[in-house]
Amino acid sequence: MNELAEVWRYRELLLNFVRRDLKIRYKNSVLGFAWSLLNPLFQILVLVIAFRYMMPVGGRNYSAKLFLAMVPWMFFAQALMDGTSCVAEQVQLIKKVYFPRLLLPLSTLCSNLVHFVLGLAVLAGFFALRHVTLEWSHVPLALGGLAIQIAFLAGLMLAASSLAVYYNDVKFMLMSLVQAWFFLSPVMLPPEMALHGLQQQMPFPQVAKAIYLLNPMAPPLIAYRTLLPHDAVGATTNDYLQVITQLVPDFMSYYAASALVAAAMLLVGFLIFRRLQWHFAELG
Amino acid sequence: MAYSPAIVVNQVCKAFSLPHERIVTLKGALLKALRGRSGKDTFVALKGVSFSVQPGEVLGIIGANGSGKSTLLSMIARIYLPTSGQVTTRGRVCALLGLGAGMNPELSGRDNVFLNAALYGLRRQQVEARYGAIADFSELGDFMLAPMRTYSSGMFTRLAFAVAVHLDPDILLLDEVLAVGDEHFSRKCSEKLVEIRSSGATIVLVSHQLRQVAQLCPRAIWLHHGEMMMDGPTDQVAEAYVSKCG
Repeated sequence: MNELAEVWRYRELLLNFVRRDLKIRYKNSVLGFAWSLLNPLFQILVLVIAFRYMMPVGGRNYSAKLFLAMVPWMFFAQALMDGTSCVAEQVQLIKKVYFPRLLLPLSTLCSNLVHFVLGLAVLAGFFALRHVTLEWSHVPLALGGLAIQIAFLAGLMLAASSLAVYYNDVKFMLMSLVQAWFFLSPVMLPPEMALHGLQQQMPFPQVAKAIYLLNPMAPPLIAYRTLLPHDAVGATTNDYLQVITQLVPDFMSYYAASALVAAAMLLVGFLIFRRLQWHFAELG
Repeated sequence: MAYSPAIVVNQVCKAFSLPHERIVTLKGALLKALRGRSGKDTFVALKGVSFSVQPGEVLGIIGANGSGKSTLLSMIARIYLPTSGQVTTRGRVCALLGLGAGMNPELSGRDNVFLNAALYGLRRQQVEARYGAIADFSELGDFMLAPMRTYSSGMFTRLAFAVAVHLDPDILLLDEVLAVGDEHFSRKCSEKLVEIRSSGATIVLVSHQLRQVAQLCPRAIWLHHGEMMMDGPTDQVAEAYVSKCG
């Protein structure tokens, strides 16, 4: 735990790294910071056109539900991609100065968190414009989901950033993985629909549903979704958590399992990073 | 404790695995496993080096290319861990193993001063207190607020060195970074170094230029193929070095 105490002593450098990331990210672009918001908005627009109008499976208020899932997903995907290259890109610096190497993935996570918070502000504005009502009683569930997501993400970033110094393959592997992950996670496809589909179409529906929910990103994303009411025509309840527990009675166990997996990932990522960090300067 | 050394290097060995032995592909990994090689192809950069430096002492390290000078300095700076043996330091270490570490061309000179100084462990207030002196020393004037990509290489070096000499470390490690800029600026840097030395900082200097080492350091160490050949007064060490390698 020496490493963590040292990170605390270097907290000012951490702030400097974050400030640098934010300043540099949109250098030489006219719209600058707005790009970090325009990119997801554009994706959301495309998906809304696709699933609200071209293949209308999204249901009512699809744009609000999609938006709510996309903001944390883009945070996850972008932070993971940035995190993978954060050490490899700074090998020259690592060869010149000693500082806790943990600051590199940590500052990448923090600057992406800043973008995420800005994304949330836009999301709040969108909800206000559309007069979306929130299910406030599920805020703790959603916040717990966010904690799970961040812990899992941090663990992945630690492992990926240190391994990518040795094997560039990690970067390409993760790029394909994140793509597939996006389609198989409850982001653009409403989870109740995905679970229903798996139940009807797969040869071993219980196994398929379990695999779907054992994706550590699935329970957090479903937890965010519970903030919005279930508004399907002819629904018996408008509490989304109830809809999910009707489909998957032990949803809360999957939620707990994702918390465990996230904690394990964080620990494993930290151990991998700690083991490899002294070799960063000797490579490249 | 008053006389405990600032730097202790105790029986330090450093071995690097040779780059061509790095497994970069799956095929390579499989081939290597099939051949049953244990991957022991290493290059030993330092072989059991020991010495200590007292607080306020100025030590020069001389030796031919590839003698392990820079490796040794990097190890005191905690860039590398020794393969065996220990290195201990007391106080804040600033290693100038290359100028302008972490400086970013997109940021202004001013932002880079804060970033670069933070990398060497300075607090924000400390940088603010020194900022005027750094800006003066660099002679950059209004360019401090312009992005560094607009700088000439001379301006870049001047700013990097201006930060470097204002870090006020307990231990300063220098790797052949002194010969920078034009003659006027180079002289200014040498003067500043004498000032740092008289302020009581411990300095370790690695250089090819014997003249420079002789000027600044009363004591020198001679490394040859990773082994310490001699440790003593600079004129004697330099003489032995020149007669063997000169």
